[in-house]
Amino acid sequence: MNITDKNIDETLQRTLARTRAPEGFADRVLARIDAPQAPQQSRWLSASALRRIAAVILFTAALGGLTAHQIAEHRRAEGELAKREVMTALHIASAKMHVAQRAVSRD
Amino acid sequence: MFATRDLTLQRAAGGDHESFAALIHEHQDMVFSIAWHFLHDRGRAEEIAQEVFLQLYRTLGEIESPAHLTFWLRRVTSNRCIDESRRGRWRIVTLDEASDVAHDADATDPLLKRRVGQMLQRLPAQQRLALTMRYQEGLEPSEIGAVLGMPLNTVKSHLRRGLSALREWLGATS
Repeated sequence: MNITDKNIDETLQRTLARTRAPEGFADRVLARIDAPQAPQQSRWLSASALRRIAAVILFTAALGGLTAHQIAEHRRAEGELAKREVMTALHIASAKMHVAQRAVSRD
Repeated sequence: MFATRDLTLQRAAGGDHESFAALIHEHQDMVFSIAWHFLHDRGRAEEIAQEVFLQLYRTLGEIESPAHLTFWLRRVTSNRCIDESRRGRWRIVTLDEASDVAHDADATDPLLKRRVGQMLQRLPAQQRLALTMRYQEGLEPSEIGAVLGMPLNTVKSHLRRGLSALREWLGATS
């Protein structure tokens, strides 16, 4: 097949000639115009949902942090109390030992 | 304000559905054909063409004249075709498949026409659009540049490269 410029020009004009739009095309466009508008808020809804989810996560994290801090404080206070009790017991034991030692020395 | 505005255009812009339907009927073949020659997928071509007219409906007030309307439709359809190709939503037609979607085989040389149709699907998007504007719409390179938003030399380059590739492929397979 001999492909000349004239030949390819004519062939392109025939190949790329306008074709008919499908039957009922205009009716389908007009139906879409008449159709009730789809809610425009789907994107906003998802953004709003994301904001709510983020707020819940932040609140949970803050609550968790607070609880962990309170537990640590409680444990520290308990530790202090136990320490004080041990010290008091040691003082009492020491004093009694002292009294016993004196009594032994007098005898 | 728009002294040269066509009466149908004016009525359509005023919300008259019959006038807008008349505008669709007048231009639907052009819009559909640009999308069809670009995508070679009737479903997607119709979808793009419908979206173009829906966009037109929303922006009718900005259309100044029938000539502006034709220009606007060519430009918006081309842009949507390019967007479609960038999204990769259109299907690349292989040579074997292309022979199935080739249409309206010409009686004088159906083989050559079919082969050219197949080869066009292998061209880069910009070259295919430039050739479509040149041969479907009969536009001059400067007009193609205005529609596609390209410098004149770029349009000439796309046309030259597209034709050269077609000649090469056709020569190699003839």
